[in-house]
Amino acid sequence: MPAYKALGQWHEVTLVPLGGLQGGKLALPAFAGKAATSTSAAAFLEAIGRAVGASSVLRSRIPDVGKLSVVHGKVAARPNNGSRRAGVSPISTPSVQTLATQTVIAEGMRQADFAAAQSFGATVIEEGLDGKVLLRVDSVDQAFALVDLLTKREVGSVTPNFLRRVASIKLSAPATAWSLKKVGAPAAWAITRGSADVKVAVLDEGVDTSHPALKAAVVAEKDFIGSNGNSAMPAGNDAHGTACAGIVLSRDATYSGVAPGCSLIAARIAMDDGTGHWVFDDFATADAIDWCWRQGAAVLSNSWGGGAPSDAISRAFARARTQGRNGLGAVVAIAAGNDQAPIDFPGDLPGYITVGASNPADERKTRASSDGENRWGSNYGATIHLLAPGVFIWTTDISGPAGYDPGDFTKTFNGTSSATPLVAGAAALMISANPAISAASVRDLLGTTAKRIEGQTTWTPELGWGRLDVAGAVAAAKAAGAPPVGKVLKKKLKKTAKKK
Amino acid sequence: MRATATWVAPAGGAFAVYCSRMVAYYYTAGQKVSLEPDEEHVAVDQTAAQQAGLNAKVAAVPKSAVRSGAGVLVTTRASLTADTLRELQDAGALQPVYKRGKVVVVAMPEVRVEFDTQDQRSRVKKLLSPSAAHFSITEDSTDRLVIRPNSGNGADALNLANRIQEHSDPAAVSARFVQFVPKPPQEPL
Repeated sequence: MPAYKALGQWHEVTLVPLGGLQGGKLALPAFAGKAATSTSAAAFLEAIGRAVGASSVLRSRIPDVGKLSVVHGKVAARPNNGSRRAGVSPISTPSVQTLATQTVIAEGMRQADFAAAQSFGATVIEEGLDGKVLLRVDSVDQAFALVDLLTKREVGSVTPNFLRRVASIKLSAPATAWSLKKVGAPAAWAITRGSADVKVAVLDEGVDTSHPALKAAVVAEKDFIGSNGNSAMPAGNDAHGTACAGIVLSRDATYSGVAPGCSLIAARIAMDDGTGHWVFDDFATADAIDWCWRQGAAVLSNSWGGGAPSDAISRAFARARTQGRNGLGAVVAIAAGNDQAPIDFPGDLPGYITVGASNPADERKTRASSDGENRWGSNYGATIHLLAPGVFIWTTDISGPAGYDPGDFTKTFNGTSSATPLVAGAAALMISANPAISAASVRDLLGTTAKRIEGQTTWTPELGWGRLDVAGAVAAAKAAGAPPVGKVLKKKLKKTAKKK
Repeated sequence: MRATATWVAPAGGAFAVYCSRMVAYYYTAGQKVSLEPDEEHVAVDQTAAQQAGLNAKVAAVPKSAVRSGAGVLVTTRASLTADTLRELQDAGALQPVYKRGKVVVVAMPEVRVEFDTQDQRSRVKKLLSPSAAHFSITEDSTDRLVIRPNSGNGADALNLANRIQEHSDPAAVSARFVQFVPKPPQEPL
């Protein structure tokens, strides 16, 4: 079996000559959420031929595309940052095909090695920097044999010169609103689509409360950072809050939120300063949190964070959690952040539902995860509770030309910003299914019902309890019944008894 | 470090070490948190400036402002003349700027104290009483006290908050911060 050495390890591979397929199909294995596929060998050859024909560099290495071979095999994948285990990756996948050429890269060759290579039938076709040479032989099989020969002669390094055909990363939206199906929303909707009595507060840079898919859900709104009074309308292209609100409860059939029957409280706590920064006023944020739970918000969705920690904000969250919903507690969901770094404030506060992001392949979202969005990764740490879908999320956009997209909706919202309102909406469904459930129970059940992913067996700082399972969480909430009478309720009962 | 206030309170009160310099820390969850003073920048409180009749001076600031929002303009100190800086400061419209990683923090002249017990409230009131002439209380309820230093200076508020934390240990005490935080990018795809 052909083999080569890289990073100190031998890799055995299988070669599939393209010329030998003769109009058949080229099979490619499943990987990273993408199904196994096959493609027309003729079309594949034609595409390669076009690329080679357009490149003098490639032409020098590939005199005959029919002699190329697709390389199959498996190599150990590098662990993701923060991930504890590394899997095994196929060398050629539907997204990336590795092709063996008739050329070999070698370094540190002595005169005797050159002589041996020449005797083998190899020709030096290019000399690179730092003593690299590119050798060409008559076939791919010979290239691997030359690698074997030069490895045995202990040259500095020798490896096949692969041609890599990588599918351009399509950061376009998937064909469906995948996230709701992934978390089991349709099954949860068989129990409830949300009660209008259950209010979800979205604290953000404003919400387009006149949006056709949101307007009917709005029960209260207020601007805490600007001068809009009892309006939470965003400024300019500040579409983040509108996108978050849509994930919770958009009533559009195509771009549905997870809890479309619930009500919306919109609190504007941030504004764009024109340089890609949000402006927050800590006291205003704390007041907004207090206002939300006093308005009866059952759930507070917070897709914001970073900056200097504030006791004023922490204590407002604590009041929401303990005093909201007449003592049952308002559920507080907080985004973990998108730096693939330790979770920052306020997501680092213990006891809340800090939410990280996952992708369509049920991987933790990292810069290296298979979704292709390599510019961000989900934060991690001791307070992470669970993950929820956070790439290519279909949701509402500011209506009209402003916002992320020219229309009223977007298909590419992302980040732990998008994962958080999905969890907030799930919590709202749980409370709709069981209005007597406590915030603490909601938090517990979101964890116990989460789908374990990436081989996890328990909570981890990267994955929390796993990926959100709305169907399981809502069913568990419905079955949970009322919580044990807690201190707050006991006090109330005593007071009532005394009055009587 | 640059002096940010001109007044020094009598010893013994809450303002005993009142702003001889720009303080560079605050407390959260009882722990000291460092801030990095940004001496190159100042923040202009637009409302305070306008109330002091400095509209024209403020109107010129946005051209050089590096950040603006929530009624605050952050600009380079060098972009303002010495006279303008003094006038803004005298009007309580010039606030200190700090950095914390990628975040820009502006301290505003307001302190919020929260109480869980009557004892905490009494301790804070006792600490404040000798210096009562130097601040005004804008909210006074069972569980909250909101204080504004008469200097209108955010550094004074930060210093006062620290003093209250260190000497009275209430449930929480915070100076008001306006923060400019990097926004999660949602790049057009």
